[in-house]
Amino acid sequence: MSLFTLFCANKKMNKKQVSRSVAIPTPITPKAKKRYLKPLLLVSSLLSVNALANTTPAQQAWQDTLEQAKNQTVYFNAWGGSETINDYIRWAAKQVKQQHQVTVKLVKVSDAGNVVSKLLAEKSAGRTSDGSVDLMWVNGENFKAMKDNGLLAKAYTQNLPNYTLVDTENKPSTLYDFTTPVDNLEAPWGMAQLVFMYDADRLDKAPTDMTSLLGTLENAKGRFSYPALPNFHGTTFVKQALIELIEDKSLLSKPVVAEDFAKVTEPLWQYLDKLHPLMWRSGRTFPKNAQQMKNLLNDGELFISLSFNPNDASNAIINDELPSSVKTYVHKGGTLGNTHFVAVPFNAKAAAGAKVFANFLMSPQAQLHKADPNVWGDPTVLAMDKLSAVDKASFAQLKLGPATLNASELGKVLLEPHSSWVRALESAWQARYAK
Amino acid sequence: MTYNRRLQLIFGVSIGLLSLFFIVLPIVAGLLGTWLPALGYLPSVGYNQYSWQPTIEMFNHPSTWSSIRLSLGSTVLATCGAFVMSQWLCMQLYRSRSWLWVKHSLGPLLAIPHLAFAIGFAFVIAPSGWLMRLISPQLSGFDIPPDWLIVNDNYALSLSVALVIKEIPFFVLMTLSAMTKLNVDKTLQVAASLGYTHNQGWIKLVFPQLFSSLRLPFYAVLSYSLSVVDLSIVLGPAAPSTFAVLINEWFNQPDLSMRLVGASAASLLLLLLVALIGLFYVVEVLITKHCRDWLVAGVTAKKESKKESEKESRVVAKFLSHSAILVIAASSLLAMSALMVWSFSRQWRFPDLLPTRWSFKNWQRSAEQLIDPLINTALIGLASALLALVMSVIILQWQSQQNKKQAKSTHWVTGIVYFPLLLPQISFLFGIQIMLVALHLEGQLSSMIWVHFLFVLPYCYLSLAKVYLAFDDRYLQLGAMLSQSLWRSFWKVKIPMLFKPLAFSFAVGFAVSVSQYLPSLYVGAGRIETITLESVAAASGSDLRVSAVFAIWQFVLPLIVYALAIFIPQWCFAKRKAMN
Repeated sequence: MSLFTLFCANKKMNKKQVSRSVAIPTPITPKAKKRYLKPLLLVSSLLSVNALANTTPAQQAWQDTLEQAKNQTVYFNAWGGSETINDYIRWAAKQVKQQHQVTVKLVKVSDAGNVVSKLLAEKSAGRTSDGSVDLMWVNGENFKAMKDNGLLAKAYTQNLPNYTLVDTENKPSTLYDFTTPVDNLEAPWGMAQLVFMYDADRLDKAPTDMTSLLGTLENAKGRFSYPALPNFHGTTFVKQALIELIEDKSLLSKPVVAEDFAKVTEPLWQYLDKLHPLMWRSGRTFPKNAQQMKNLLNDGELFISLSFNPNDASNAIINDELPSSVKTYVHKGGTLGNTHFVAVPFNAKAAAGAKVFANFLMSPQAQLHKADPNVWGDPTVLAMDKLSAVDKASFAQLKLGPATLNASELGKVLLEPHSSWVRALESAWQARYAK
Repeated sequence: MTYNRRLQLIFGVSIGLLSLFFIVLPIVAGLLGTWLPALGYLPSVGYNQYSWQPTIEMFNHPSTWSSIRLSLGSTVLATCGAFVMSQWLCMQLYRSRSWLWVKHSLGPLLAIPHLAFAIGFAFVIAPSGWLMRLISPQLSGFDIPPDWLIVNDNYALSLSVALVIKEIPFFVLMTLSAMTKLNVDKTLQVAASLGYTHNQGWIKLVFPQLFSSLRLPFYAVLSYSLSVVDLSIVLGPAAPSTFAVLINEWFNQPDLSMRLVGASAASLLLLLLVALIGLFYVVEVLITKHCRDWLVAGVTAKKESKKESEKESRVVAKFLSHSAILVIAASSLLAMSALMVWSFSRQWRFPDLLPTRWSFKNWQRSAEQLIDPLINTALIGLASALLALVMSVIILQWQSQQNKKQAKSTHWVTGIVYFPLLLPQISFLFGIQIMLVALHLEGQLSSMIWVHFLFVLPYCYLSLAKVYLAFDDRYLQLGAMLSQSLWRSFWKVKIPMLFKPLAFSFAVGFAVSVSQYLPSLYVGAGRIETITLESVAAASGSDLRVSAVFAIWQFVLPLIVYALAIFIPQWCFAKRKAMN
């Protein structure tokens, strides 16, 4: 048996996979389909009219990109830990296949850091084209690392037609990713906000801030925890606590001053020292991640858990991952929020295809489908007032999930502290609690 | 130089060249690709100056020391625990009624991938797990799970226990294969005729002869336990985690300078392993020295009065060894059953013993998604196991042709074959990745098969070597006499006679390939999905229902091949009674 036959066999399989995935019926109802198609037809007819008349250079460039993207295969590297999200990505892949003949392959990764590390290896090996990643799901520190090390393609989002619909005015985190300027290097995909989930069957009243969390745990000892840092959710919880407890909040938008760090974070450590003995396993160990916390919440090991997706609880209830007694709450002073993005690496092989997919992900059609709690429930990055009346109405018609808070209940979104705080908080936390 | 000698030489040289280009050089490149960044040299991120900075930074990290302590503790505990237990079980159960049963259960036990076992095992023993559900709420009085620290404990005990359970079957297998070379029955008879008990005979005569064959497997388990990542993520402590997990975290941290720290930690891990192996070697030498007198001094046959208590202690030992076997079998069975139930569940909360709502959805979903990964896994597994088997046979055939004097000079091959097994994977995979990327070979099926071959070869070789070398080549000569061709005799006589161990070795190789996580991750470039990569991705999401489906697939594939390895020889040789 030669390696060649093995290759052939594998290629054949891939083709089969593609044709099979097309045959799977989409979860959209015919009615909904019509709703999506209308604006799309409009847009495309407008485009073709423009193509006949004088096209602007920008439109021409986009036409060229669409042309280049045809028949390309885009390897989209994304965290693959959630089947709900994977299903959504597969749905989106099917759409761009139909609309633009771009094949998108989802490469599931356990951590976006792995992808950065892979790109780094490619760069150190001098591979400046033909890279293995065409598009990746990224934000925060990973984005900063990529930006600092030249692992990103040239600024491109300004050329994507749907970028004009993004709510950059009211959602500042679409422009500043954990305070790092985005500079059009990554395309906004979805919004996230820290929310807490609690089981109302087991806890009468949800806490309203960090201090009342202590009081709640006095009566429910061991029923809350957060993932050990440097886990993303763990770091977020500690940042949230810091924002609520630090005296001079203005310090957080500036880089950390090493000399003052211990002094200004003192209230945080005092708080955590009080909190940990009341936590799950008395704070001697921590859950691996927020998903494990969901399992623990389901089993009653925890009464309170946290998430970065305001629709998470609803979604999990629909999936029977959590009981219907689970509710969502936020702290009264607001909670941390940010945006997650997709970025094209410096050496992407199918850069045009990746841009077409990124543009599709920002389309009203894709964003609406994503915001549906039955699908994923990830909040949109688009500005309602920039949308067509039809799209706006569709968004308004979206039913909130059984445990989802409405916009006013979600309250104020607090901006992420300067990214230098993450590393400083992590090492200080580890020095105290992971020694 | 005779024709035969010249053939032997050509054989030897080509084996040398093959192993140089496919094993030694790539690994050396991988090590260098890790050591240079460890010393501050990684030009792509702008680190062009050699410096100790990464090393200093590593030692300054608050978790480093305690992490190392945890890793060393769990490694020594798990390896020694599994080794001692396995030897004790072999001694107690050899020639007992359960011996055959033990032998037959090895295949399925070994086929259970570490990760799948860990996921299931964690669910069984957790405070909200299956055992607790069995007695809740009626017996225990718990409506909600108690806040007890069992899984992820701070001393890495649950991790060590899982490792012990998983490594005992491996050691037993290695002991079995070492025993084929000895005539254990006769040896024990010699001891018995001089009035020694079974156990004394075993300890004084059998074990010392076995040990030389168990040394390398022992070091391999040491290396594996020290560098295991997927298992520690599921069962190990969280704050701090074991050193290997910490290194993996550093390699994957957004701050790219942490790669350098990770690289220097990976290099330190290798040094730690070298130190551990050195330590155990010294211990071995000391024990040998100390016990030599005791071994040869002889003991006069026990007096009658002592025989009574001897009998009693033997009954106790039997009971204990059976309980130990039961614990291993039961925990494996429970872990896999738990996964099975989870894979069909839709809603399952504490304290329900079984899901309150069932569903086929998890499996349906997997049928759509897992075709590609399953086929990739099977292809890579079959190809790498086949290559490894062929390579093992070539090496062993060459070694078997050497006369006693020359045989020592073939030990270097064994060393090379073991090389990838003794090195912690994390200590050279980063470098291998850089090398493959430079050659434009990453993410290709061929590189994936190659990197799996590296780790499969030692296991194939290990599980085959003893039987193969114990083969009486006079059969081959007889065959050659009758068929007038050494080749024909080789194919028609030697291979069929060794078919059973060959098939088993292939199955072992396949199972090893299926369970590879880090190599697939670093070489596959994410383009070649395997079932293990999918399992870890699912486990990082922790939706147990989906993880369970993936983990079961990870188990079923090797199980099929093990079953085939048992049934195909039986079926092939159904008419040749002497073959069974």
